[in-house]
Amino acid sequence: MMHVRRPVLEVQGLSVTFAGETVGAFGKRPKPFRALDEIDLTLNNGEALGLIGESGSGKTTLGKAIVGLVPLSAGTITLEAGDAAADRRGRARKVQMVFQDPYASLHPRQTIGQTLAEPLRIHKAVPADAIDHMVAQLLERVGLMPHHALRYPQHFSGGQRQRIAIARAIAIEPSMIIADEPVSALDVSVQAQILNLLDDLRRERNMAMLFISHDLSVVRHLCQRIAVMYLGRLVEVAPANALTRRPAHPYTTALLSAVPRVHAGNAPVHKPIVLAGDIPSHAAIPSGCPFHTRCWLYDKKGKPAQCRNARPPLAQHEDGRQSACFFPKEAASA
Amino acid sequence: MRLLEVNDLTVTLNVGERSATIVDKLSLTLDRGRCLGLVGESGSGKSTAAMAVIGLLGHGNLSARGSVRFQGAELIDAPARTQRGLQGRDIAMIFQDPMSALNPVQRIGDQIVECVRAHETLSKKEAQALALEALKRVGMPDPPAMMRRYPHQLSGGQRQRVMIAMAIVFKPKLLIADEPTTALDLTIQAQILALLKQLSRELDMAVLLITHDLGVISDMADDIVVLYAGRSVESGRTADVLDHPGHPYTRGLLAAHPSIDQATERLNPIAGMPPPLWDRPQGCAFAPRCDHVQPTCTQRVPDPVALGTPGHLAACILAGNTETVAATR
Ligand SMILES: Nc1ncnc2c1ncn2[C@@H]1O[C@H](COP(=O)(O)OP(=O)(O)O)[C@@H](O)[C@H]1O
Ligand SMILES: Nc1ncnc2c1ncn2[C@@H]1O[C@H](COP(=O)(O)OP(=O)(O)O)[C@@H](O)[C@H]1O
Ligand SMILES: [Mg+2]
Ligand SMILES: [Mg+2]
Repeated sequence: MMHVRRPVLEVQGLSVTFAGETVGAFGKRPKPFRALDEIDLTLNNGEALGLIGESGSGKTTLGKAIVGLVPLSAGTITLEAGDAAADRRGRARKVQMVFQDPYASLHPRQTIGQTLAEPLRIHKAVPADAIDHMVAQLLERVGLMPHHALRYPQHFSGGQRQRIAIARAIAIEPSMIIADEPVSALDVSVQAQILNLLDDLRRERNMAMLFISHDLSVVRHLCQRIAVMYLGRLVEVAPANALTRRPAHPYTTALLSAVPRVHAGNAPVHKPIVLAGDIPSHAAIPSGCPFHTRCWLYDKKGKPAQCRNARPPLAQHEDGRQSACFFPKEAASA
Repeated sequence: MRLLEVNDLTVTLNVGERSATIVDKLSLTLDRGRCLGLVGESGSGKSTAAMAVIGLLGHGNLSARGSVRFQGAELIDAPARTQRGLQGRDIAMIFQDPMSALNPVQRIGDQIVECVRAHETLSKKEAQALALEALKRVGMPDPPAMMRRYPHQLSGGQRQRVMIAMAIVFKPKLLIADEPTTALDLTIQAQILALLKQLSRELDMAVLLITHDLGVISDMADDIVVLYAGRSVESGRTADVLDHPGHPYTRGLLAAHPSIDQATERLNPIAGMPPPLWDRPQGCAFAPRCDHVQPTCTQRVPDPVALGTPGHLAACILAGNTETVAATR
């Protein structure tokens, strides 16, 4: 099947500012901080883009901003043709989100059938008398049985609930799905089932998918492109293979090296780059390159002043990669 | 003499008339300075087994049978006094969530000092010196300042360092680490794993590492025990088990997760899900999900079969018989 590639999502200069949280009883007055800082991103139909980064880097906030759950402080989000910010219902038809916790995201007193019928009814996706049939089809498509429509969420395992959440997300045939750590709460042996399901649905419906995860192996497997976030900024965006083979940002290199690997007995034992210190807080984002305080390349290069003084922009390189580092060619190996 | 020798450890849950077996005839050994990885999915009984080893099952509805020998001395049914004497001194434990083990309204330093003095009659000064030394040893930045902080003023990684510091104050011979890095970010996980390795070397300390991540096991553990529904389905040297897995479940786990270094065409999930505690199947617990299931599998629990390399065991009737496995594919 041939599909014309067209952008489904265009994010430009997106920033999100939060009021900030008071820490404990001794916290000083909270200062507003930028959870997302000038994000530019596009996503084509049928494409899976992986979003990785450590906790607090802003991955969920980006997902929520795209579906309209957090107010933007700057920038634009364009979904397919037309600015979706105008109309929430219109936006919901185009983009749906699947969350990490399938327990929290399903209504405990609604049957699965009611849960799945709701979006179909609200969006008048099918005639009223066809809803039951559609619900049955959805359940079968995600690997459940039509009679499950009569049951309540608590009768299902974590993996099954995530299937239900996925069925709800695809019910109105959105052009894009945002999956936020959809398998992180599931057992390893069940994860692969859900990942295959998401992959199949993306292909057969030519959906775009923003796949948020902290599991780099899973992201590499599932996504054609990967975006790496650090402290609310994109530091590298590149095709999955290129990014995992030859990262162009030292943070990406460190993340990749920290992935625990199952190594065969005769393979060289892999030595991770252990970054010094913790991720800085949003309240104290370092000057210049926000990563320089933990950067192994900065140390290796004798602490160039440039990294402390100027913030490297997310620059376009040949071969379609983008990286926010002054030394992208030296970033691949420590 | 082995540092730790567990034989046929069985833990049952008793609720009214009913009982369920959470850990079923688990056996393992661990020597000083070595790391044993206990892997399994959630609910497979890893934490329960660990709590039984350290004698912390409590007096609730769980009971342990079998044998747990620490430096030759039997711990199962030993007087509580004996167990308490070991807990926190010779055997220490750390958990996935340090926040739940720390008191939110007490300064870090006071908590370590209190913990130290609960185990040994020391002056406050002496205990403080030990606490500082432990915080230094775990690589805590600016230990004196950290002593004055409250748990919420620390990052997740720092809290785990505090827990490790508390655990190693008395230089234990065995550290039980129950999913110590599961809640941490990748780069912080790398720091904590490196720290555990360093401490194990410096203190000649054995580590019983519990995790669901085969990558972590591969990186850390000399030996491995794979648990499924409370039973050891495979055990041996880590390299042997991961290179030549003999049990279909171990093979399934390895195939279900993609690699970071190679493109994977399609994931091979294990069908179904682990059985619930109250509804464990007869015979091999993995049989309902197994591609190679034989009629006998559902009748009796398979015995461990010795495979090619010393110490490598797999509890599968087809283990070691590669032709049969290939034929039933
Ligand atoms: N509603 C909110 N109000 C204030 N701060 C928030 C809110 N949501 C998220 N944050 C903060 O924004 C930052 C990014 O959070 P998040 O997007 O959840 O990160 P990630 O998903 O990458 O872990 C964190 O510091 C988080 O505490
Ligand atoms: N005190 C208890 N009461 C009831 N069930 C328990 C108790 N302790 C453990 N279990 C059950 O025993 C099984 C194994 O639990 P656990 O040892 O925590 O597994 P793991 O650490 O491998 O996730 C689970 O089904 C759990 O719900
Ligand atoms: Mg998140
Ligand atoms: Mg556990």
